[in-house]
Amino acid sequence: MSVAIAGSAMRPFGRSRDGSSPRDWIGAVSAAALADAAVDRGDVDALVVGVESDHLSLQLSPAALAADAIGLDCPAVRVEMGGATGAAALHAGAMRILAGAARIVLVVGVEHASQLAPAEVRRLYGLSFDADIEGMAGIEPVHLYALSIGAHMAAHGTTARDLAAVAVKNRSNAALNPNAHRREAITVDAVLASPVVSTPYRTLDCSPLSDGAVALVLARADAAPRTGRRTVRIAGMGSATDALRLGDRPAIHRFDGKRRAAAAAYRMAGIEAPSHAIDVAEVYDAFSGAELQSIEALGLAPDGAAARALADGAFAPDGRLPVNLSGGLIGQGGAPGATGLAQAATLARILEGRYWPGLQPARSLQRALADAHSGIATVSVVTVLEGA
Amino acid sequence: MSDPVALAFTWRYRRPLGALAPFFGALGEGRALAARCAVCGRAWFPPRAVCPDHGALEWVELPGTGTVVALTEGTRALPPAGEASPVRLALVHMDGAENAALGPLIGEGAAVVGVRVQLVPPDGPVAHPIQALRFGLVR
Repeated sequence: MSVAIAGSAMRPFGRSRDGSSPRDWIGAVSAAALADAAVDRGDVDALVVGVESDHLSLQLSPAALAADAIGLDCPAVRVEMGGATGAAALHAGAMRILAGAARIVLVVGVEHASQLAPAEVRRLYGLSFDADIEGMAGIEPVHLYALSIGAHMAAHGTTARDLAAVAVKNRSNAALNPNAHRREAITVDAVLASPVVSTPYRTLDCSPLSDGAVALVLARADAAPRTGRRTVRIAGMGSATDALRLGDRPAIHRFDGKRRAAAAAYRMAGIEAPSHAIDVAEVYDAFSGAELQSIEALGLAPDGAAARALADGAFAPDGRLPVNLSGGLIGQGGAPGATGLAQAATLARILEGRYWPGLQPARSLQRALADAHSGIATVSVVTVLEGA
Repeated sequence: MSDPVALAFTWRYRRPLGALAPFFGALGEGRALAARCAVCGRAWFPPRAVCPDHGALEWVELPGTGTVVALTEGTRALPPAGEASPVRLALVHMDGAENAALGPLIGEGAAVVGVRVQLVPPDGPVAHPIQALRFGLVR
C-alpha cells in the first residue's frame, strides 16, 4: 500500500493585511485542494490540522475549528512539532492511511504570525528550545543558529559570502513564485551590508515570520481519483530527535538528528545514494547557513562541501539538484504550521510538471525530498516523494 | 473586510521549577551545580533530567570555571518584558561537565573561542532564575 498526494492548494505566504482570518484561509485552501484532487468533501475520512502556536492564534483545539470551517464531521486531530509542524501533520495523515484507518485524508496547516509584533513572536519562538534554560534567558532562535553556523565556519572554512549566496539563490527563486512572501531578488553585497542580527547572521540571512495556509489531499494509491496527472506518492518518511539543548550535542555545527531522520526516510524509500537518487529538494532554511548544514546532514553533499557545491551551481534551478525552488523559508516564507505542507505541495507539483513557469525544471524528475525541523534541527521530519 | 481588533492580554504565570530547583538555587549564589550519573560519573551543566545511558542523576558542585566554545554578538530582551539590548552570548564548556552552557558574557575585555571564563553571581533580583547564569572573563 502507498499514499498519493492527490491535490494541493496554498494561500500565498506573507503578512496578511486584507482583514481575512485563519478561519477563512482554512476553508478556502481546503476547498481548493479538494477540487484540485477531484475529491468530494463527503469522501474525506479524516482531517489532520497542523498549527504550531496557540499563543499566536488564540485558538486552542484548532482541529475542531478547522472541521467547522471546512464543513467536516469526520475524525479530526491537531499535530504540533515546532517548525516541522506541517511536515509532521503530513506524516500523521499518511500513517493514518498506511494503518488502514482512512482512504482519503485532508491535511491542513496554518499559521498567523502577524497578529503579534515580530519581536513578540521571536520571544515566543525562544520558548521552543528549552524554555527554562534558554528562552527565559532571552535566547532567540537566531542566537542558537548563529552559534551553530559559527562553529561550522570554524570547522569547514564556511564564509559569510557562502551564507549570503544561499539567501541570494532562494530570493532569486522566490521572485518567480507568486506564493512567496519576499519576491524581490537580492545580491550578496546587499546581504553583507544588511544589519547584523547576531553574528555572523544579518537581517537578509534570516527567514521572515509569515502568515500562511496550505491544504493537501492524501489518498490511498488505489483510491486516488483520476485527475489525468502523474501520480506522486510518498516513498519514504523519517523522523528523529537530537539533543534539545545545543550545548548537549557532541558537535554543535552538525545536524546529527536530521542525519538519522534522513537515513530512516531513505531506508523506507529504498535509497542508498541520496545525492544521486534525489532530483530536487525543499530544505529547511530558517537561516541561510542552516540550508548548507541541512544539505550536508541529508547526505546531498559531503560534510563541509555544500557551500562549494552551491557556488558550482549544483543547487541552482538548472543544477543537478535544485534546492528550494519555491524560495524556501527565506524567500517563500516561514509559517510553521504550513511550511512542511507547502514543501510537499511544491515538490508534488514539480514532479507532476506543473510548477510555476521559470521554476519548473525542464527535465523529467523522479524523486524529491522535503526537509523540515523544529528547534535547531531538534526534531527533524524528512519525506521522500516519487513520481510514477 | 473590517480592520483587525486590537487585544492586549497580560497572563500571570506561577511557574514551578521542579527537579531543577537546586540548580537554579545555586545559580543565584554564583555556584555551578551539575547533574552527575552515579554509574558512569559523567556530569552535565546545565543539568539533564536523566543520564542517557544509566538513568538517575545526583547533584555535584563544579568549580564554576570553563572555556568558551562558541560566541555570537547581537541583542537580547530578557523575558518577560525587557527591552532589547546588546549582548555577547557564549557557549561555555564548564570544567567537569560533558556539555556546554549558554549565557551572556558580561564585563569588558575581548573574547574569542578558547578564552577562560567563570560564573558571575547576579547583581540583583531576576525575573526567572536562569537569568542568573552569566559569565565573566577569568582575570
